[in-house]
Amino acid sequence: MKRHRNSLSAKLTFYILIVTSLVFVGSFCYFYSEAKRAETEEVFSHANDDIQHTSRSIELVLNQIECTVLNAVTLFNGELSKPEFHFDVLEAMVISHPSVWGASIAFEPYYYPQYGKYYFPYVCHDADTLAKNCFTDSTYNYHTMDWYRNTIALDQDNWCEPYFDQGAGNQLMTTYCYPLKDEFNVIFAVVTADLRLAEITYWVESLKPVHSSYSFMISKEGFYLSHPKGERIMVENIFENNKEIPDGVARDMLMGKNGAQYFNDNDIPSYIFYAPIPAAGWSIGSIVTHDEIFEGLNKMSVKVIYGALLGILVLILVLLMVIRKTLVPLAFFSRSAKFIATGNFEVKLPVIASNDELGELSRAFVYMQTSLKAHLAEVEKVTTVRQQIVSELQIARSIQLGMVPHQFPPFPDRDDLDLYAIIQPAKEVGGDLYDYFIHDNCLYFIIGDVAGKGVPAALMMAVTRMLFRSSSSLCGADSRKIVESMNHSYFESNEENIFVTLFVGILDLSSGVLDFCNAGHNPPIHIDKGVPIILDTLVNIPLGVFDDYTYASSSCIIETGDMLLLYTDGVTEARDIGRNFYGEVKLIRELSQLIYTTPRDVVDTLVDSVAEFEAGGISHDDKTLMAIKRNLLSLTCTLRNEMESLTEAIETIKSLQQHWNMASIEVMNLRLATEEALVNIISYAYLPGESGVIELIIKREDENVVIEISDQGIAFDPTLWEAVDLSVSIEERKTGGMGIHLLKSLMDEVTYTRRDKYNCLTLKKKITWK
Amino acid sequence: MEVTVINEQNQTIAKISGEIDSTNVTEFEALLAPAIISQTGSLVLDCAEMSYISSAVLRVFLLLEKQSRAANRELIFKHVTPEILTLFKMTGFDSIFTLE
Repeated sequence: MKRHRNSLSAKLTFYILIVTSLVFVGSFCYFYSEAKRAETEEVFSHANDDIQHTSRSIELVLNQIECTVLNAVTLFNGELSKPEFHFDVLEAMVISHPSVWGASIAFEPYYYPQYGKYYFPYVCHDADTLAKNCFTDSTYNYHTMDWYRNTIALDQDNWCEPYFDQGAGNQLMTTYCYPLKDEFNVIFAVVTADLRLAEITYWVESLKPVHSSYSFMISKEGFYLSHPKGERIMVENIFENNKEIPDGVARDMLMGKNGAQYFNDNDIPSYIFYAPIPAAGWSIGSIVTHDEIFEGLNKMSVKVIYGALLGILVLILVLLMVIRKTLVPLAFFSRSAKFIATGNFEVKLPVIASNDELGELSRAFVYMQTSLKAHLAEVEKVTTVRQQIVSELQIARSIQLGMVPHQFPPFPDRDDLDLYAIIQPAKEVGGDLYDYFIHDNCLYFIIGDVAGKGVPAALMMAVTRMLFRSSSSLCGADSRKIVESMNHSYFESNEENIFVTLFVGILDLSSGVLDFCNAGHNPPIHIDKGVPIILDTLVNIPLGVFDDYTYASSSCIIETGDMLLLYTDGVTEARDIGRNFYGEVKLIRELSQLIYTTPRDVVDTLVDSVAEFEAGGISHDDKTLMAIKRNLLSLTCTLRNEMESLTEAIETIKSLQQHWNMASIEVMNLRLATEEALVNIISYAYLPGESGVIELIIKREDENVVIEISDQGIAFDPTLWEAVDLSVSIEERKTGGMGIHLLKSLMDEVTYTRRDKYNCLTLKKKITWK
Repeated sequence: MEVTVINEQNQTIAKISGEIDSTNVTEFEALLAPAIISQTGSLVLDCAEMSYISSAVLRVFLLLEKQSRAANRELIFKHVTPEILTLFKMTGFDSIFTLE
């Protein structure tokens, strides 16, 4: 199967994939945003819980230590008079709470005068035992220490700022200080309990809401008490590096607020959760990176996307396979359609029994195939019949055209008559006719037009022509009788009442008398001495109208050199694109240019003229043209012996060019010879003042033109005239005699005879006829 | 028949057109006269349009040639058509006349 880039299966797959992908993307976006929200809530709540828990745990330790100190304070107040008892209390303090590293009581100077200015008993862990010390000298001037002074200054119990205790192995310590006051509310001693911060920073360090998060703790001064980077502890302040903790958060933490905030921890998007430890004024913070929060979600999303892509890939393959398989019949159909288009109706069509669209298509194809087969068979049948009719009509046409005489020239043995005719049927066959024959030196001719066109008209045309022949032989040289006889006969064989217009003429070829009868036909045109005029005919009704109609005939003379043009109305009623008729006026105008030409030239020229006129239109009617010419065989002129007569002779000779279709140079030579002969006669044959007659006869004899000139003047034989000597010099040349010299030179033969009183000069010239 | 005479420097041109025969040869001579009488320089007969002449015209041409020679005037026939030239040859005039 040829795969098209825009195949239906590709298109369907594409659209399904688009929709599926859109649904997936939409669902994924919704799922992701919801999951993110839930994850955020989860992490926030978890982190919050964690930090609150840690905060409370630390607070609890501090509170326990505070309680321990308070219990000790009560004991101290009861036993002030017994300084030796102090160590017992301090020892009890250290033991009572595992987180208490050391405990002390520091007295104001000289509280116990027996001990001097300094009295400061101190108990602390030392390896596995407890170390008891009492500073009574200035080696440890505790009065100047911050914790002591601050407590005096604050006048209340407090957790002092943590510090590194050199004595206890440089551990980070903080001390709870509680002032003891007398009845005057004056501080006389400060009870302390030391707490190793390591005891509580452990909780901070282990505060990890998520895997990569870290936590820290700051003092109320803002110094780090716990931090993953140990070097920062007690050295760096939370405000120092605002790339890590924003100032707002630092302030909130110092102010002992709870909270959570999004920020950039060294350009890593993160959240900070923070909670205070109110007892000590500290605060703990826990940092969770944004990515860490959504790490699981993102990993899952990637898996979902990969899964979806895989799913889409599988979907593509499945769709392509399924759709292709479904559409395979379509390819078969398209191939079948191509075969059917090339005329192969037997091509096997895929059978699809299903009730879906393809099944529908399959049934439509089968229907189309059978319908086309049937239709084409029908068309073939009709075409065969039509071709048969056409070829029969072609045969009919040649039969019909062969029915009328069509050998031209029609009478090769007669040089006094020339005739040419043509029929142009509008359809294969037509109703126009012409016919002619010579009987008893008379030319019988007919031109006719059967009403209608096509086969019926053609049949009646054949009948009409047959009737003309038979009627002519019955009725003799009488056109009226012929027409009436034809009319009678016509009624015997005209069931369809078809009428015919016709013109019958009988031309006496010796006298030129034309007897004619016009039965409703277009009157012919008579070219009378070069002037085309419409022949004046008596109007009769066409044949086939009334059986007993009496037709009238007329007659006229057709001179030699005259022509008669007969035509049917198809000629004059030819129309141009503008629906204008060709008309008689145009016909006569065309003819006036053709007066001396041969019948064939006249007919051919008119046919061309009509065709040109009709160009672009349709030929509606049969056209028939017939031209009959009485050939001019000789010309005669009777002249007086005057120079003026010469003009008439010249015109006569000039007319030969048209009459006999001669070359102008030949006519010129004849003219010159004749003129020289006539001038000689006019000038010398008669005495001055004597009037005489000169006869001029010009005739064709075979290939020659013969000119006979006769006069009754003085006998003179020009053939005996001395030839002009062309060799002499000009001065000796005679000016006369040149005419006879030319005459002899131009003609083939010049003969002279004297008959009775007549000089007879005969000029003969061989002509190359066209 | 028409004759048009044009006088130019050192020459006179006579343009002859049409047919000249015995009936109008006298008229032709009259029309040609202005080109001959009281003119000097050469005489050119432009025969391009001259379609027919008879022996009467040949006679006129011969006399004109004689006259011109006597007057020591050049006579030139120009543009003689082949038909007329045939007549000149028949009468031997082609060797007498100056043809161009």
